[in-house]
Amino acid sequence: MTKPSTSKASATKRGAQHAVRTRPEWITFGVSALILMVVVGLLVGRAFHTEAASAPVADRPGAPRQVGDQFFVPVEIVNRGDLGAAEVQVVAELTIDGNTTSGDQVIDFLGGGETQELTFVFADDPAEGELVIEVVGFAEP
Amino acid sequence: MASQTIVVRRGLWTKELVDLVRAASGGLLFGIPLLYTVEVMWTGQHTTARQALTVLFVSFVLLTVLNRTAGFRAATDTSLRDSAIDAVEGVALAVVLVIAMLALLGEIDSSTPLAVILGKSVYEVLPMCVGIGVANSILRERSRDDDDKPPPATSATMNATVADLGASTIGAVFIALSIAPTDEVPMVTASRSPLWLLAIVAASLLFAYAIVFVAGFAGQSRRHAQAGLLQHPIIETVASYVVALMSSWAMLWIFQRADTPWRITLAHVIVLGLPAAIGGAAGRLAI
Repeated sequence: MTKPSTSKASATKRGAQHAVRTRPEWITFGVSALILMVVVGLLVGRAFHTEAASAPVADRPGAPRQVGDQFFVPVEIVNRGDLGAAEVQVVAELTIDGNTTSGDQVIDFLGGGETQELTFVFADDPAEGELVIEVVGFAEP
Repeated sequence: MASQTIVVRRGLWTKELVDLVRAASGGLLFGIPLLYTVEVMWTGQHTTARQALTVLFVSFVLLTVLNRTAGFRAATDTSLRDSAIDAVEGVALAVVLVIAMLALLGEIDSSTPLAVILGKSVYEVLPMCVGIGVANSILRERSRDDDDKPPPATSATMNATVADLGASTIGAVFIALSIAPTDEVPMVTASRSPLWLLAIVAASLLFAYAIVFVAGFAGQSRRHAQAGLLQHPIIETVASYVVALMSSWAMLWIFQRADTPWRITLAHVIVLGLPAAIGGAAGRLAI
């Protein structure tokens, strides 16, 4: 049976005092300090930067994809603000010959700068009419 | 003389690696339920940078205090300076672990803005740090004498095997039961391709192996000495992972989340199998 002897060795030393730091421990500390400095630096940078309010908007819809009798229309919702937005309501309206079909979806949470892809499904081909997809409301978390 | 120096250096690096694996294992044991809680990530995303810095500072102070009593290193920190240095390492390790786990679970990818990554990570770091800080005492503490005892003469091989599998099941249920009924499991599954699911399987096996056979937790030596059909480390890890997957399916079934097409159910089981495998590994050491 293979038994990793190293782990057993480390377990037996538990309780010994941490008297002198070894070179590997100092290297680990150096790398760790570097990682934390980057994280803290980014957060400090954000702290002194005026954050733009939440601004979720719908990008231009993608090309419709026909699946059976239905048409799938993808659209990306982008939060152009720095702050998050909750309960982002997105409405899609397809008007063909004066008849309007609509659908709506809600995104639970969209972080600052984050993008979420949605897909709306219509019975008619959006290419034959006018399709409008827009964000109609959201909540400040 | 030169070869002796190389051997000593290798030994020091191995010891350091084992300490870090122990820290990561403790952090995962404590922090993984919150990695499956999207509300924690949302909270992090709508906090200000000052609040996020405060959370990081609290994590650092907490870890410094915990390092004085438990910590993650094999050797005990005797001074505040050593505890603080280990806390810097612990917080950095928690940040790296959280970001890696969020990527594995599909919460972040290369297109995710840096601010969103920081926001999603910051509140996950805190529980991870608590786990790292109590890594040495997160499982049942046993004296060395107890650990070195040979297994009882009456424990038959089959009994030991059943006890192992039972302990894996209990540990898996203990950690994963609170995650099974949540929407996070299907949410994570929906964003993962089959290759990512394979990566989750690999990560589950790796973490389970590290917790039981590398991290040097209490009870590890006893496990090596224990009889049983599964006592090769690789065999035991794989067998216990299968138990974790079966436990995951049972938990999903209990909460009526297993009545989906088999491919989706399998994906759900693999996603829930990650925390279950980590819990199962801890269970085998604890019981």
